[in-house]
Amino acid sequence: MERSQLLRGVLDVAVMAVIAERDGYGYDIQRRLTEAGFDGMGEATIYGTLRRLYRAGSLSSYSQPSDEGPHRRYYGLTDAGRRQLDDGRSAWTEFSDAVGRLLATQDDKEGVPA
Amino acid sequence: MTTATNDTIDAAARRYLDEAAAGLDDLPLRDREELVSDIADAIAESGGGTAVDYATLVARLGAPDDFARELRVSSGAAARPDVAPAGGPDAPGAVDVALRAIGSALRWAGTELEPLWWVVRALAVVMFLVLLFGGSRGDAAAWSVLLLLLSLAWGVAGRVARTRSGGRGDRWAAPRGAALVGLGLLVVAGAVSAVGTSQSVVYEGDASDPAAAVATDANLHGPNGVVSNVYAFDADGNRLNDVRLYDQDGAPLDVGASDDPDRRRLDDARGGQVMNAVPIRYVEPGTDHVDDPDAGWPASPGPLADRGGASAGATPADPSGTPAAAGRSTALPPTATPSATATATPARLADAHP
Repeated sequence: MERSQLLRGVLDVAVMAVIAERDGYGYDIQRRLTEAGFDGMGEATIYGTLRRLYRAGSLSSYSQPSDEGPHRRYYGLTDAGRRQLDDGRSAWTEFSDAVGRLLATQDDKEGVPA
Repeated sequence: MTTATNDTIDAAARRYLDEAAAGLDDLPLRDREELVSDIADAIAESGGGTAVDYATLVARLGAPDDFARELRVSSGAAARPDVAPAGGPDAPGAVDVALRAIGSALRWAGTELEPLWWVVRALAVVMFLVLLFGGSRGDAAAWSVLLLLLSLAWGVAGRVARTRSGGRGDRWAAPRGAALVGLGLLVVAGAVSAVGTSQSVVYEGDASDPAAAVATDANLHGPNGVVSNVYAFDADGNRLNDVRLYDQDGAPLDVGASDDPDRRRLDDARGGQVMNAVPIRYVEPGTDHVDDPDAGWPASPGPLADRGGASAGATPADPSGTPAAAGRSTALPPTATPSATATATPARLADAHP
């Protein structure tokens, strides 16, 4: 399974986690996700996700001047977004632990001589 | 990376934006505007301030229609319908398309016609000055000031919106466009009104014979707007009735409307209705009887302090103000002609209802 497909399931939480570190604009958030190991996510996916989270009230938005051109639209977490991130973090931890145990067991089985 | 001129980057960005936005045409206006602004953000931010051409944009962001499709999905906007809704592209679809076209046109007006705002401001200033020195329409002057302030406010709003968005998606573009169109219509209407005011007295006939000219649409204007009636007093402060008015060229100055059925009719010797005799009197409907001979008369200003014998020839037409009491006009003697410089003494008035 491609990494991008895996990421789609937790894209909202991943985007909010990046923004929780510090506010950012679309291209900046995409670059930080790529640096974190989640490459293959196109700009359209990131900008669309930001728009959806903003509409849902998880993100706030404001303009900041840029030395490189026009003002940029920065996104930050709202209180609702922080609660959503905490819930997502807990859910992911439980889920990844379960998947980890499951996959580890399969690996062990594959490693056992017949 | 391809280096391009500013014109090239503008054209490339615009082309990419337009092509991607075309893939969002079916969305509700607000959703579409938001996503178009996101596309504009992506174009601007991916360039990092460096000019790129269209091919580079496609290499970075993908094909415009692919970008629009992915943006639509990830933002949770409705998927583009593959088939026309039940009923096919009939009237509702046509209305929707028309509304979107109007919205696009207004957004275009709000952004691309920005220089017209300065034309609107200039027109407002010119209107104000003309009316100010014309001194005849205080309300129109006030409208000019209002137009000026409105256009300035919208201009400032547009500049703030552009500054905040960096030239990207501007949700106020359409309202500004609509306001521009509205203000333009107001300015045109005001200009037409101002021109009409300055030409309110129009003469027809032989220009070489002003005395033969007839004033049409002769709306006299005073400090309170169009003059609907005129009341004259002689040097002693007595009321003057059926005073006939002429301008400096001897052309009659008509007052009021000729088609008013309640206006007491006065005719000249040839049977033509006299429109320049004042004050206008009104009869009881269906009769020749003046409704109220005292109606409208201001208080007498009293006699002049120094008459110097200049008015010796003036004869009060009817100090009692009762000539209309019997529904008849009281003909003025020729010596009472109000214009001493008129080229000819008007003939006696004839009563239309002898």
